[in-house]
Amino acid sequence: MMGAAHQFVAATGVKLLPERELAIDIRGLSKTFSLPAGGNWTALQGIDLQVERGKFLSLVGPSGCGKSTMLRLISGLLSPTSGTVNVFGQSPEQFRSKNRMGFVFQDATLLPWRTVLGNVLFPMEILGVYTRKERLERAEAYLELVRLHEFRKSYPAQLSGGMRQRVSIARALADSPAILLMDEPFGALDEITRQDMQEELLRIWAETGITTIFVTHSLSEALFLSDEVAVMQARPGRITGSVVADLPRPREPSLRLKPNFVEQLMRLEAMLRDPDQQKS
Amino acid sequence: MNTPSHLHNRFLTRAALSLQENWPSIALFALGLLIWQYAVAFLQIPQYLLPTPSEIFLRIWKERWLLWSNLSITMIAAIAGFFLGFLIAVGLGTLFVFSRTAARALMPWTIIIRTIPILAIAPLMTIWLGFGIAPKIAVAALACFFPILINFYRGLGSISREIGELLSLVNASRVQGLIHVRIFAAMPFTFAALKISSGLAVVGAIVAEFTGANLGIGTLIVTAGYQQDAVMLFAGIIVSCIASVLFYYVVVAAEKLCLYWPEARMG
Amino acid sequence: MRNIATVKYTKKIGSTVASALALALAFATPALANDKVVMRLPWIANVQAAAYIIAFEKGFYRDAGLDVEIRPGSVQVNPNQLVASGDEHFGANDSPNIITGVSRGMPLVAVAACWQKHPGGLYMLESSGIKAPKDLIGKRLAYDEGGPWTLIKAMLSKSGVKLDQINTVNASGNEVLMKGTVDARSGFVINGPVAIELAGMKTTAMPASDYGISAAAEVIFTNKKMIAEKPDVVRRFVEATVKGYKYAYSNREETLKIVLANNPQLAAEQQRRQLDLQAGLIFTERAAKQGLCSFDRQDVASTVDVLREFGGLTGQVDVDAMINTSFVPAP
Ligand SMILES: Nc1ncnc2c1ncn2[C@@H]1O[C@H](COP(=O)(O)OP(=O)(O)O)[C@@H](O)[C@H]1O
Ligand SMILES: [Mg+2]
Repeated sequence: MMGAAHQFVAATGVKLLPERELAIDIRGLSKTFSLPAGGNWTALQGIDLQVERGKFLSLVGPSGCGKSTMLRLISGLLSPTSGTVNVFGQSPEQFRSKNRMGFVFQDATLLPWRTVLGNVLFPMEILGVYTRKERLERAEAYLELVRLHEFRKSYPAQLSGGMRQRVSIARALADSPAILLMDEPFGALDEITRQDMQEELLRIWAETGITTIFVTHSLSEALFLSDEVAVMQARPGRITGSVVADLPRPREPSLRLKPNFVEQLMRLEAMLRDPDQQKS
Repeated sequence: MNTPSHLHNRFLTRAALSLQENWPSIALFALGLLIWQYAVAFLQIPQYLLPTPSEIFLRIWKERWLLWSNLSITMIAAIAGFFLGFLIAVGLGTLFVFSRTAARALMPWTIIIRTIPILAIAPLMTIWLGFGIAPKIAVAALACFFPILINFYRGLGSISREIGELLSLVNASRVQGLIHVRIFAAMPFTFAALKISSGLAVVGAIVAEFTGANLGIGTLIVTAGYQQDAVMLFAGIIVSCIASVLFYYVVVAAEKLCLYWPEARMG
Repeated sequence: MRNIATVKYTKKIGSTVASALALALAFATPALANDKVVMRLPWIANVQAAAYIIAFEKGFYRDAGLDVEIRPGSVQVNPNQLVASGDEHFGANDSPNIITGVSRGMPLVAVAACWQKHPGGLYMLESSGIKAPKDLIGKRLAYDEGGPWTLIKAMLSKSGVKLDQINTVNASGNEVLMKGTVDARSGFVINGPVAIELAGMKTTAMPASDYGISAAAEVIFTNKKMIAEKPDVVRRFVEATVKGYKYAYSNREETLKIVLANNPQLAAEQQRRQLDLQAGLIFTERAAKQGLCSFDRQDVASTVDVLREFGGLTGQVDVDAMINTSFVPAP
């Protein structure tokens, strides 16, 4: 079964694109909402962000700084007030009409009336991609990947929070998306489960090579997972700086205790505390 | 595995379990009947004011064929009206999901229809639809349509923002969203309403029979009223209650079948 | 409708009590306490109840030493039960209704039969061309369960028409007739046809009493306990009511005005015509000879026979025990 997963992973659909291509290219992006009480609210202002294909980027920042809004703009669920968002050179909607983008919500957001397997099958069924047999093979392979194959016939209500979130990761990955967007996916988990999930995610990411944008408000989580961490601030939501993680891969759990890690973590924390320091 | 004796044992176990669960209500019911029986005798309440349960049950047994033939007519109308009301409610609810304009235009009308007292509309239905089963079905449908519509519609809209976004992300059409997600989300709400409506449909059919029908348990009750036959009156009321309760449990069984996933049922 | 009437009467009784009290104080004479009784109408307080309303408004009850509370009836309330249980003292119903109650064991006693002819019968549009029961064969006939349906079945049978020769449907209201859904309907010939005539259509009527079916309406009844313990109250009530009948029908304009003032929802013209038609059922030859509201054993016995044959009456009815003709005043 694992072998099957690798086979799909190899088939990830962006092969035709040049090696160091930009997966995500955001320029001069602003997003303004009109408020129910009248007036406007600038959720994001002047965002510039480029992510190379295959990279793992985290967005960190205080709550309300616009992290979720960023993901919605990248996925085309929202459209920008000004500026542009490009995904592999196309608008998100154009991109999504032909390609897949995986999205993992903070809550697993599973359909309670579908089994674990049914939930993983759901996007492929709706999109009408692959044959029935292929869909089933893929769903089972990715359930294997998140180590939930035995639970394929269970319903979401019969799983723990961590297991549910793994199902939603399998669902997001099952039809080999080019991009994976994750919005505080481990926010509701206890620390141990959370660390397990982080390692599991890294393993999957390494196997699939999927470009990943990961939203979190945990700095150590961001640092542990990412190639690059972008720091955001609120009012208005903006990117105030970024840190390229200088850490070896694969990342071992013990990395969290290394001085090198701690030092970078403290740098990130300082940036978050005092945004102006990084401006220089 | 599924030998007859195995099934038989399972049935017995389930019956025993259900007895274990329900004995307080059964005991209370039996006690109530006993008190009724002896209070009537002790207080010398004349039969025309309150017959005893034994008189009523004897009468039910004696007139079982008459009661059954009339009750079945009423129940056919009630069930048909229940399904008609259900179909109209589901049709309208679905329409409302697809067209906000339709929802805005029609919702106030459904509320107006709801405020019409059934007792007042029933004679009109007889005038419009004749004397057969049609007015009974119409009144039963009218009685149960509104709770189903409101709950079904609310259920369709009960999906979270994230589920809605999930649908957008997989480019789901509205029809796909309806069939694969909204209908399921609406099911627990709808069954909550259907359980209420099962009783309303029976009451609706009986009320329609009060105002004009040749047959049916409602007619039987009215006739007993004119004949000042208190025993028959109670007999009619009791068998229609029993039928209502059975109908309710049929809906509960259907709910168990349809809401197969864990934690689906509300309340 | 019911509430308006109840409230109104209750208020009046209140003020009567108050003024009686005031008088008693003013003259410092010991006031005789009136007997309080409740009269339950078979229907709402319209001209059908003219005699009771007049007896109340004109003070006939008060003069007879009675504090009467008139309570209107409705489809849901049968005076029989209320009087049988002793909750109320007097009621009015048609004789078939009272007989049925007696057959169920109710201790009712009829004391005056004020509408000696029953208003039950058939009516139809004149355009239907139906003039006799035989013309109904093959036609559609709407009936209400209960009501005068038993009397009509007896009338049809007496005229040689079998029920299965007619298409009968259970349906209420005049609309079915006016719309042409049916050709004839059962009901009361004093009000059903009037409503249709007022809507601009000509009607014809076939009262069951014209075909020798004996039954009375607006029969005043009480319970056995009242007869045994307060015969004097019964006598005074019957006498004052009979006085009410006389006054109401000799002064119809005034009666109408009083009835309408008590219940402004009533349609004046319809009530006027109904009052006139009622007079024909009350002031019969027999009333002239034997007195208003008079009746005898034979009347009731023959109604019992009709009910046994056509009304599904099975229980025991002791006719002698359920009537007392001694309270009706002589002419
Ligand atoms: N649909 C919306 N309408 C109005 N304001 C919104 C909407 N979505 C988000 N916002 C506002 O934009 C800001 C950023 O929100 P969000 O992206 O959810 O923040 P984060 O995910 O970083 O906590 C918040 O102040 C939020 O109130
Ligand atoms: Mg967020």
